[in-house]
Amino acid sequence: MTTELVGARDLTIRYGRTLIVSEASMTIQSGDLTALVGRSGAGKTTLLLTLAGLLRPASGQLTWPNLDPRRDIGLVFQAPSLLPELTAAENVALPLRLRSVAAPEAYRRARAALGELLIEAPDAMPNELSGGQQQRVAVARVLAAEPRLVLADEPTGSLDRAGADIVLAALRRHVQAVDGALIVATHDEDLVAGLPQRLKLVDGVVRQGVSA
Amino acid sequence: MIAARWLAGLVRRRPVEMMGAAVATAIAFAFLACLGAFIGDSRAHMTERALASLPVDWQIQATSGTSLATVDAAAKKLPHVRAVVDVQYVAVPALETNINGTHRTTGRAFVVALPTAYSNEFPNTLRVLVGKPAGPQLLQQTAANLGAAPGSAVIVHTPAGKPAIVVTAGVSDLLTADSFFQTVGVAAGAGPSAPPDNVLLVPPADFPRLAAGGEVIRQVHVSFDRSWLPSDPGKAFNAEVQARNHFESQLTGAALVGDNAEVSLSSAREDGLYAQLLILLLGIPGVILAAVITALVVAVRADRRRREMSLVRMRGMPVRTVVGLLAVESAVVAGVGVALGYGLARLAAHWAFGSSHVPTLWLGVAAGVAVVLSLVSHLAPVRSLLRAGAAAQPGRAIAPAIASGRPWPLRFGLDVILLAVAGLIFWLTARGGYQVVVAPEGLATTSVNYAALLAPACAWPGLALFVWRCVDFVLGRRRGRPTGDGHELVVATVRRRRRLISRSAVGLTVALAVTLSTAVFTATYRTQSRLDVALTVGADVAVKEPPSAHVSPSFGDRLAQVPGVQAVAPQQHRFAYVGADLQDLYGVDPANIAKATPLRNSFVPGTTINQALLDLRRTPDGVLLAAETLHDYQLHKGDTIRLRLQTGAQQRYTPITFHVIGNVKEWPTAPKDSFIVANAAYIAQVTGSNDVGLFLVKTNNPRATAHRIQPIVAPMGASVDDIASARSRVTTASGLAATDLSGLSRLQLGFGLILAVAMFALALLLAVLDRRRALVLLAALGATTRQRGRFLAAEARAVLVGGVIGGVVVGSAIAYLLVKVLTGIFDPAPDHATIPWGYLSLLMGLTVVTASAIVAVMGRLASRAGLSTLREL
Repeated sequence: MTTELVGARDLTIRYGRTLIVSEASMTIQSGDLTALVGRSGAGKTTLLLTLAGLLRPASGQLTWPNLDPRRDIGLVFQAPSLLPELTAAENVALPLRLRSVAAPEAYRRARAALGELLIEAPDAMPNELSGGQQQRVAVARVLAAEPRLVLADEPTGSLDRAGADIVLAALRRHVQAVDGALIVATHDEDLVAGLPQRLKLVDGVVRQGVSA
Repeated sequence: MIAARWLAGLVRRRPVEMMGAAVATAIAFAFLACLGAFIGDSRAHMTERALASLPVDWQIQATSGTSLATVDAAAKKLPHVRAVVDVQYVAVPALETNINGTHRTTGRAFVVALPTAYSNEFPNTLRVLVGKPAGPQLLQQTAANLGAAPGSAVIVHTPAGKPAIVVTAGVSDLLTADSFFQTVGVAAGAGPSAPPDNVLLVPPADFPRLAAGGEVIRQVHVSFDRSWLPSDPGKAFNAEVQARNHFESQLTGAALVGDNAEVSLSSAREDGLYAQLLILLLGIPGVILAAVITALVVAVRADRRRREMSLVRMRGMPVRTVVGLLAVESAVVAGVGVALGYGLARLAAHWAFGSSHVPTLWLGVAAGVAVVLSLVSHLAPVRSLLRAGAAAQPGRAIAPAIASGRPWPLRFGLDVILLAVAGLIFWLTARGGYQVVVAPEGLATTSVNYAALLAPACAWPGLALFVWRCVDFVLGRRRGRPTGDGHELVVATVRRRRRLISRSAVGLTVALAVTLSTAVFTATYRTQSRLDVALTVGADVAVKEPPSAHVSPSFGDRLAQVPGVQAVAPQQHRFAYVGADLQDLYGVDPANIAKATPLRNSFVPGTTINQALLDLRRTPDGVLLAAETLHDYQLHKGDTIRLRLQTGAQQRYTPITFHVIGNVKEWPTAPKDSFIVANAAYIAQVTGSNDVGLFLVKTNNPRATAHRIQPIVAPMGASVDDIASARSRVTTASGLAATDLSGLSRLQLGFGLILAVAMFALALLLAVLDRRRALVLLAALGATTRQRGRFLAAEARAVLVGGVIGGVVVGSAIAYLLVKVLTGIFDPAPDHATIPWGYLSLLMGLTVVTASAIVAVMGRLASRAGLSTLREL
């Protein structure tokens, strides 16, 4: 049985004077695996940040009927975005520790997530890792926090094919495990092909559908 | 054209950053310009002050065979001459009185022919204590020796052997006795160090009959209009010496000049060097700090500037154009800074010195420094991009490496080396008695032992680096327990950012240390100059009885009843012969004297003042003697000494036995040369008189208390003096008087406060900006405002604690070094430094408030994610 995770009605998003999304309405259900597509500069990142609750829409209604947006939404940024003064394991455990998850449990989950993404040096500092490894650590940080809704912005941009497959597989497994949803903003056609739902952003208009 | 567009864009888009840089430049400019104003102002005042208190500039002594009229005529032709008066004196075998059947005879005495006009032509030379100013005058000490009063007949034993009688009109005090009786024409120190004990002043008409048969010293006393002399004391000294040499050469041996102005200017010249040292030791660290702060303000947008410049370089802009754009930007910042700074400098100079004049030369120097500072601070952040062939890197590193490890000075142990050198030089300076300014009396050359300044010069960077090492060490060993919501991660963050935190803490340390050391030094100076005035006056308030008065110590009980009086101590003032040397003798109550007047350990070399007073209490016939007396008479502690004191109704000099208990260097109201301190009770017992010469009064409000006491003691003819009134009158031992130093200290403390708070604020601001991305990321990961604040607060706390502890330690150490190295500026030398708690509390309070405000406000603003920031994650 599916549950509604995100509901948007007549959502309008602006970036300064630029209109990004105009009066869009959409629903994200548990189990959805959605590719957010559109040309560069169309506003995919802005839409993802709005759906995550980090940006306020100009107008319209945005709800998360069955989520606590602070806890249950995980965001994978375009760049790895790790705190440079924390180790890989500490970066992954950070969201858990901020929620007061006990340290042993937080670090156990962090190491497990890193292992799932084939990171073998949990105590390495971010600057000791390659760009691809850093991105996988950032994905592990989302997985360890066990959010129901994962929003990923070009998560495989800095990865090779094998790395991208590992990340996508891990995200899929996670979403299934928590009965959640995944929205991936990407230009990667292979990635798009692997996701059944579509959100297409063209000239401020959002079209929701399924892959052909 | 492109420069104009660039500038217009900056003004439109970055007005706050540009203005911030201009304000920081203005502060650096104003501080330097004000220091220049201090140098000019203090030097000009030193010459003025050195000569203002000098009643007689030259004492031209006619050599044998030259008539006084010839010398007088030559003196009157001198340029800028203001007053010329002939003076003669002769040594006579003795003076004698026979009053009420009591015969008193002095030893060798001097009879001086002094015209009545003398005190008009040379004000502040002669003060009539009792009697009339016209007619023969006995000096105070002579009157005491002879038991004479106005109207007494004094028998002068003339050199010819024929006694002559002079009826005294009054008893006077010759305020310039030291210089008056100087031996003209001998090297400094070769003549007698003290004026004669017995002196009779007579009108010139009486002189020939008294001087018959004696060798008469004939002098012409001259004063000049000194406004033509250069304001710099060194140059004024040279001009003075040249003028004297010229005059002596014109008279070709007919006269010798005793140049009082030269002696006074020599001292002022020494003070000028001390002022120079103060600039070096107090001012330069402040200027460097101001420069660092300016660079930091510009550095606030260094990262953005680097990216902008990378972009324009990538798009093909030549290095020369990039440099040109930055140069124009820095010139505009410097121009605005100089304009603002000029106004600030005038305001600050007016506040600090009472004059808003800033010398043009110093304005030029400060403007030059401002331009260079602005240029360097604008170009430095992008220097790597300006190198030919350097790769432009507009993007940010994916995960920037945090600065870690120790900086190279710490790796090489530079802090330890510098501190060792500072310690060694300080030890050598201490061994030489802290003689930093070498100014031999009477010689034209003065010099500064600049090597001694190496101690503070090495101590500054040495201590700062050592604080860096300590902060780094402490933070590197911190481990947080995994409790609460990520405490261990906060601690880990601080531990791994310790290089940046240590650097900020050192910045705060230096800023606080500059301010703290200046505050302690100037507070110590103020205390010592107050003590110096108190030494001259005697106490907060001093009641001086006239020579003929008979006042018992019990009168002190009446004075103690006066509102505002906290303590009263009577002090006897007598004279006693040590061998043939007549010295001032002070009889005190060792149990109570310290309650009424400030006594310091430095008064009694080799012991503490408490121990010396205790020894005096335990030894009723004990005496404290001057070092030269102990030396000249080969006396040691425990030795018996027989002093001749006036005893009994006849006031005859009678030998009395005392025991030497120690050495005394300073005492309230005592002269600079030899004197004696003894038990008042013992002196009263052996002389048969407990007459008190002075009552020392302690009070919180000297002026008001003096006013209250005045009517009570007026009927006895006693005079009342207080330190508040005397401060403007009494010249402190260093000509760099409180007015000068208070100006510099106001300047230092005012700017110091601004610089310390600005330094800390900037350090934190840079940390916030540096961590802005991290704060936004934390917010995106679900951290609450409080949790984000904790990351920032931990860093601020580390900077604050490290900086404050470091600042207190370094500031105290530097203050100690300053007080010791500049010991020559103090008289007497301080026992310990004075801590200005009020100012320091204000400084620390403002620093903490600034820290809290920045962490609370900037932290919240920085973590408020805008779209552009979130897109960068």
